[in-house]
Amino acid sequence: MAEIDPKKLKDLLEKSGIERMASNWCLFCGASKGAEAMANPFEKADMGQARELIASGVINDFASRLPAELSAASWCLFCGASRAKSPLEAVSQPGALKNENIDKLAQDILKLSH
Amino acid sequence: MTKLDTIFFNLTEACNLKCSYCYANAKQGGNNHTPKNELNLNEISILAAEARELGAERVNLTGGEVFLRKDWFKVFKIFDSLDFSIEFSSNGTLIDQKIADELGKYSNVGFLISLDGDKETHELMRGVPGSFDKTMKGIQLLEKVQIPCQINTVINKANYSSVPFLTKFSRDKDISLRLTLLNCSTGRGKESKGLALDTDQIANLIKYCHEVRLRGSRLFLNLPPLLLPPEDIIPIRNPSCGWANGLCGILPNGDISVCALAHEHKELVAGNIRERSLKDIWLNSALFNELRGLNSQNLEGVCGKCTFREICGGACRLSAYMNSSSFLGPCSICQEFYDKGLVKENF
Repeated sequence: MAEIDPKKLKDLLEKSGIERMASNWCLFCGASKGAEAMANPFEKADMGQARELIASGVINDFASRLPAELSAASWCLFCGASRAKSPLEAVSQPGALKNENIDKLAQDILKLSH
Repeated sequence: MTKLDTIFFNLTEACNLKCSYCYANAKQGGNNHTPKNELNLNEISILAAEARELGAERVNLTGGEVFLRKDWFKVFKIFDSLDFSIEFSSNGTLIDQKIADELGKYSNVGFLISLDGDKETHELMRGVPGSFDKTMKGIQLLEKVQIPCQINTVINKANYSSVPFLTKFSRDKDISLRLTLLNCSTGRGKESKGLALDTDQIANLIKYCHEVRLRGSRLFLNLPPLLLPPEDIIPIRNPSCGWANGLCGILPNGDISVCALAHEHKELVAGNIRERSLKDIWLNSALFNELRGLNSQNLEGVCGKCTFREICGGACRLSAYMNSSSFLGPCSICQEFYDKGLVKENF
């Protein structure tokens, strides 16, 4: 089991500040409003530690005490995943959903022939 | 008190189609519906009021085919009068101008319409010639009166090749398209197990979905977060869809079940509203209380190790129960991906 230092985590989260605020719901894991953080404490940590932090309740407990204005963020405390984007922000090629592109993707990825 | 949020209400077992994989094992009776042992309007009024009192704000009216019940509008009005948000799950074939005009007056209504693919594929799976055109007409009528609509497709080997058609349809209509994998062993779904996609097809579908979403598609896959690229994960507000912790299923005869898909499992029926009140069943039944006591940390297999276990809750627990006879069994799709080494690194 990974060593967990709740105080260290709390310090890390508080340092990251209000500027990281962004969304209401984590698009990665769907964690509810109030459970997101303003930084990704696991960015360079192994996910094993992230799992332990989630399972131990440290994260939930901390998130429940966050002030309302910090409850929305770009990074998720629950899953520790990387930066979340809204579905619209995730569209990198707007206008490219043309028939020929759909057919090509279906052919290349789904292995469907015309 | 555990708040009730959503009720899935199977109004009737009757259906005018005969889908090969129907989870509800709906009875095909053409358009002539004779109710058998279904809750009457008085019983539904009491049920709706109790659900509201327990906190429910959303009802999904499903079947069978809802519009085969001649009193469907009275049922709708019961829930509307209690300020419910009301979703209809329908095959769309019976939606006519009158229904569209009537429902178009309300702002608390949405539709989930089942569509399996292009005309040939859809009718092959639905078992009734002409059903595709009727569904298309139903969608068109809803579109005209601006009722929000979503297409639901149960994706399997028989309609896998229709995915490009469905993508284009969703784009042209600007309607979201939800793909759910055939993975349910209830009703006629049991006989369709051979139609379930294999792991390679699922992995390809995940990649395809991601690529078309980058291009603006409103297609999304109803899969556990472990299997999806981060941008494609749907926010989950209730782990495991919330059964016993916000959601329950109501069967046509008044049985209160853990979800609408559990109709064949008597052990998953918590009680019947003809014998006990919904409030008593929801708050005091041994079954619901047992389910509320389950801890995601005790999930088995890959789910017990997963980063997302707290918020995913192991995905559909009914499927897990049917596959492993345990409420704590692993999600079979995630387990298969894990066993084959296909899940994300450091999941």
